[in-house]
Amino acid sequence: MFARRLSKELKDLALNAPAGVNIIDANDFKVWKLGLAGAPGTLYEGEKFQLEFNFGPNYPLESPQVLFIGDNVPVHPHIYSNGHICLDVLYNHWSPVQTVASICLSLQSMLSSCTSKEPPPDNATYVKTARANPKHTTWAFHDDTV
Amino acid sequence: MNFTPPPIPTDAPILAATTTATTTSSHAHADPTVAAAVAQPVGAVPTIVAAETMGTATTGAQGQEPQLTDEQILTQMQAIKDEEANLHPLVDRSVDLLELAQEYENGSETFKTKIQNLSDTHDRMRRSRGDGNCFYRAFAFAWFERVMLAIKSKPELHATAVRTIEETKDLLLAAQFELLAFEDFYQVTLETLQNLVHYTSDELLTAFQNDEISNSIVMHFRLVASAFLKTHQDEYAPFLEFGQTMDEFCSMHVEAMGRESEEMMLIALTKATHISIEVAYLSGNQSAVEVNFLPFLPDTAVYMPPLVLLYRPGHYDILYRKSHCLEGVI
Repeated sequence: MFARRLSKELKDLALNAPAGVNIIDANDFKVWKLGLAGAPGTLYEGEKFQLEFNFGPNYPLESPQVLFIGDNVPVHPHIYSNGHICLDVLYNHWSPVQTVASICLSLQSMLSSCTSKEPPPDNATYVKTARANPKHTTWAFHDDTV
Repeated sequence: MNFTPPPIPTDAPILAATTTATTTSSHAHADPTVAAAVAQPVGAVPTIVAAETMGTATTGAQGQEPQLTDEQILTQMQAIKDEEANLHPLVDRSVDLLELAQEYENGSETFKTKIQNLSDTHDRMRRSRGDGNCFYRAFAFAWFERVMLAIKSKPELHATAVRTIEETKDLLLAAQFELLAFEDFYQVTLETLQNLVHYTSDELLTAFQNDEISNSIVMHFRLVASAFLKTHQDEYAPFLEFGQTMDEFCSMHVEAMGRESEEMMLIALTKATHISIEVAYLSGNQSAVEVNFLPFLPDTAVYMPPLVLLYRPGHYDILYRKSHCLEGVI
């Protein structure tokens, strides 16, 4: 059944993806690659990013693993240079009513509200010690204003 | 990733159970040394993290945990899950209530006395797995079983149940949930209910022991409770923690699988489904020898005797009142 949900999401994304979001690669129901364009009028205008979604067998009961991949990872106080994203809906605020599209929108809004392109203060130590899967990190969401 | 709650006999109460100390600097966002995605509320200094959704050997005390690869963690999680599934089915066969007393054989006299007293009026119980979803699963099973047993004597109960579930779709839409995001859970719930026309007790149990069916039904009822709270914010928001919005509360504590239910979810589900519940509260309180019953009533007229759930701190099971067990005497 969970593949059914993803196939519906895929169809929906193909028809009306949120602005700035495009499917790069979604050939199975395990890993999708999506493109995310920085919104006009924001610090990321003109930049192109790539997102990777990894769906476990229990998606959407459990959140997908979501990270930025490729050469251009956004420089942002909540995004580590290894692509890991500090965003509550991806971890403890995950709810099965979230979709790939709604996550993209959250990320888009996180980028758009940024006022200063800086990496997280603990970036260097974090990327040295983090596991490949950001869901294995204990996240502390203490600032949702940037 | 599969995060399976640990194989503990009861649900871990939210933010109160096992705690794992982790340390991060006050400026850090993340502590990559702990293998679980749990987090602190906005603004909190991350020192103590409730272990409500984690459950592996990799989440040990600070500095002692073995470094496992993601692959190994996955394998371990699956092993724990399989073991749990064998030990505790999502919904178990019903057993004589006095079997419950055996659990306390070497334990509290208070519990033993209370179970003995309870057995005057109730003769059987059915366990729901302690995975944080026990209330929703017990509620759904108890309701559907009731309808199934009365399918010939009181077919109108089935018609009412089908209509009620169909109406939940409108409730979910009114709460701004996307059809795409909930329709699979809704469909599975409705189909299971429709199948009751030809189901035997064994088939119903098999359906509720199937991960996909059972969890879809749990998910649907979670969304129903959430939608009810969101569409009745005026009444329920005052009960939230200071600064918490209803949307935040619902996404964290109602919609997410494995999060334990509180009184507010019981009220919401009762009112949204027009099904009354009585919760037999089996506590260790020594000042009473009788089990307390807490009623949860819908706003509409009660058309069926209440479903009876047995509550022990942190966990719900199904309880059967003597007269209710008999087929046809619903």
